[in-house]
Amino acid sequence: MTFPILDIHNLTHIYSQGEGGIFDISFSVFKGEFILVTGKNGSGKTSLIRHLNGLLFPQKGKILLHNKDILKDLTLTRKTIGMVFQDADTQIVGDSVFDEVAFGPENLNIKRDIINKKVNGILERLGLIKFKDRNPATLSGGEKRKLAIAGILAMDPEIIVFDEPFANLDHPSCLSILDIIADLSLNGHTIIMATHDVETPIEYASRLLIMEDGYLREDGGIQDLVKKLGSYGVKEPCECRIKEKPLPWQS
Amino acid sequence: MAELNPFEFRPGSTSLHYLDTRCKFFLVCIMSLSLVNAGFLSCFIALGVLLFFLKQIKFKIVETCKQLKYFILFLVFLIIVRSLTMPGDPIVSFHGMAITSQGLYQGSLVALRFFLVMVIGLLFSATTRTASIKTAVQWYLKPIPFVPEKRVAIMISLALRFLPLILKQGRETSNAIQSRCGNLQKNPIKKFIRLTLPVLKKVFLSADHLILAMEARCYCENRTDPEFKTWEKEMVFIISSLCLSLCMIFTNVYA
Repeated sequence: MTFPILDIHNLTHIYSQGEGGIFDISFSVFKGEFILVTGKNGSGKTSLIRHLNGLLFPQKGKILLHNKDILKDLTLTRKTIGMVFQDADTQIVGDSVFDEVAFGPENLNIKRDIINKKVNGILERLGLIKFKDRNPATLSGGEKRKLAIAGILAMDPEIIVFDEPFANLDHPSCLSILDIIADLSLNGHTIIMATHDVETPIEYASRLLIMEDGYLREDGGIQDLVKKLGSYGVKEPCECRIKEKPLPWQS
Repeated sequence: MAELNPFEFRPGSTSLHYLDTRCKFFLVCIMSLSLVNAGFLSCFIALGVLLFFLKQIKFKIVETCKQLKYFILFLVFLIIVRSLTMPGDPIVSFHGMAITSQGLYQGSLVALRFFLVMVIGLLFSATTRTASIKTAVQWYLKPIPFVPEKRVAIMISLALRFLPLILKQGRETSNAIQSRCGNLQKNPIKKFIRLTLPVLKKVFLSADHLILAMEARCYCENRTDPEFKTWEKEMVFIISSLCLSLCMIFTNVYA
């Protein structure tokens, strides 16, 4: 029997202004899954994924990572669950591409020579090595998004959470980011992606979560839920892009 | 691709980039102190040296001056105030107010000193990584008892990280106002309020996002610090700067 790596139980968070938030959300994440969390603007996608990284604390319910409450050890949580933000500009803190990628491992107090080796390897893998000494502010939108992913990969996360990774990107940049995410998924990373653009990543996804007004309305396989997307205000993807894919724990 | 603001770090391979940050800190202090009482001749000597380094790091001087127009306007304001308030031989007088030659001289000198200190800061920030500045501050504060050097260094590094963010928000808001003919507003107070309030709001919001992003990657006090890279020519720079400072002091005394 396969155990979930991440378990969300009755997660509730209501914002202080009394409006918005998420209510009574429960689901489990299994190793190697590629989950799309979708819904209209303001449906609670970002609020949900911010809880996974310990950036928001549940007011009710709990999140278990490998059967341990994620709030017990936030450093371990943030090392295990990496989060790529919607706006790469606000995520980037380094003075150069190299410094930006090294930022995470430096926070984990890893030895300098190991950091250098790791950062160079990741920059090579994502095709950013030629920009190594460039100031991140001078990169294009797609390159900045890649850099944001590189910064998270440097911390060796098991689960990577993406918040609208295709927002404000042109088509080639979207495809290039999708290639990276698909590659991460194939290499065993568990992917959770909050997006309203379901069509771009759908061929790699194994599961769909649909949110509405802060509630998790639907949870299931792509084939089962794709036709329901329209009724939740999300654009239905072209059928030609949907592939039959068994859920990892079923295969 | 965005244009860098003048105070942002520009990677490069010039002598200033290779210099140890601790040494750069020392040079900044020496040069700034020498400028406190410097006369025109000393200031022009310093300006020559600084222009050489600006050219070396490929700074576009005219473009940079355009970006720093508000600072330059402040210096002009300083000259005007000094010229009008300092007693001396009047050059021009109107409605009972006079621009004096002594005031003009003193005002220009103070403005030039301010300008040079700003150029020194600009050279320092353009050739030094934020992380190295943090480590150098930590290194200087370590021997001082009862000073939490790591905490102070982190505060400085956070402030340095926020500075480009504030400038970027200011530029973007100003563009947004201008694109909707905001420049037609003639009342300077209304103009000021229309720019500053949205900038402040956006800066706080961006700061919030930046803090979240740093927190998401476990930002803490005990992190791997960058190593100091000594270039073995630091002594040459220290001796040269001391000589330059002495030269500026003597020029001032004998001028």
